[in-house]
Amino acid sequence: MRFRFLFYFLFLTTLVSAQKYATRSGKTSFIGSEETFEQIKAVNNVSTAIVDSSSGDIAILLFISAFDFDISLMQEHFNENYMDSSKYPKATFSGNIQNLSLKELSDVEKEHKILGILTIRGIKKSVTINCGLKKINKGLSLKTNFSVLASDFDIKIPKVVRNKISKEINITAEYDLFEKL
Amino acid sequence: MIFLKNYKYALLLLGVLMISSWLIIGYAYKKEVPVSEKVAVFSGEISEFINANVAENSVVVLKALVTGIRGKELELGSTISVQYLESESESFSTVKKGDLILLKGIYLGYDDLFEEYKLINCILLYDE
Repeated sequence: MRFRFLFYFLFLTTLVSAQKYATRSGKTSFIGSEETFEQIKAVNNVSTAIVDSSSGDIAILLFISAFDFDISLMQEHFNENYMDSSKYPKATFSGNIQNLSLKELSDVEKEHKILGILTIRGIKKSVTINCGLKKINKGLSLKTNFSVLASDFDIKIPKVVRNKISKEINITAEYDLFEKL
Repeated sequence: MIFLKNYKYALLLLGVLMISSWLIIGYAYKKEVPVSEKVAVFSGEISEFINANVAENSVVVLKALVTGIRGKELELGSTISVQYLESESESFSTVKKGDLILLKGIYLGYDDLFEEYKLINCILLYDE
């Protein structure tokens, strides 16, 4: 009887700890310019992400053409001239949230480090990102803000607009991830 | 006389400048064409859609069975994820699991993470 209880306990513990959290509607935004007359900024509200709570592994995928700009001409230039989204339609991130423990998470945001590889325009780059993690109803909330250099991903900025577009692109991600069944 | 001639040229130049500025601003700030007005490159059912190898970021019309509802997202035929605009929430609120629906949206591409095809900015069409 005692062994059966132990078996069930271990089985359930493994099941719970191997939980995956996911979202199909993560918000990823970026600002690619200084404070100018028309700021270069866009938001992607359909980013997908999966977090394996047992290992801390995280995978994010977003479609470049799903970035929404206020000005449609800016969106056209972004896709055609800078990101070449017909050739490289996706940007991905795969990494690991260091020391992730569900038990230690609460509704108060806790700082974590994520080590991983960011792939934009087919170019892979190792990055270390700080993120805030907290528990929400039946899920996890992940927030992060970091910067990348446009030149690291071979994004060429023409001389004419060089003073309007930042060399450093500031990226913000806000994902509410829920248990994946 | 010369002054009058110069005045005419200045007025003409000003007019040309104003018209070209108006055209440039109109071009730069042109509104994006809504999905409802865009021409669909594919129209059909899920099996045909998967075999059709439709180009990413193109508008499609699909007739399919709703196999799941996850908040503001629908699942069609267990292979397609559908997301719609906030403005379409009311029309999508009547959709139930098991319904056969006709919708129009932008096909973004294949999502390797969830192993499904992704449609966004969808609107409901009514079968006639």
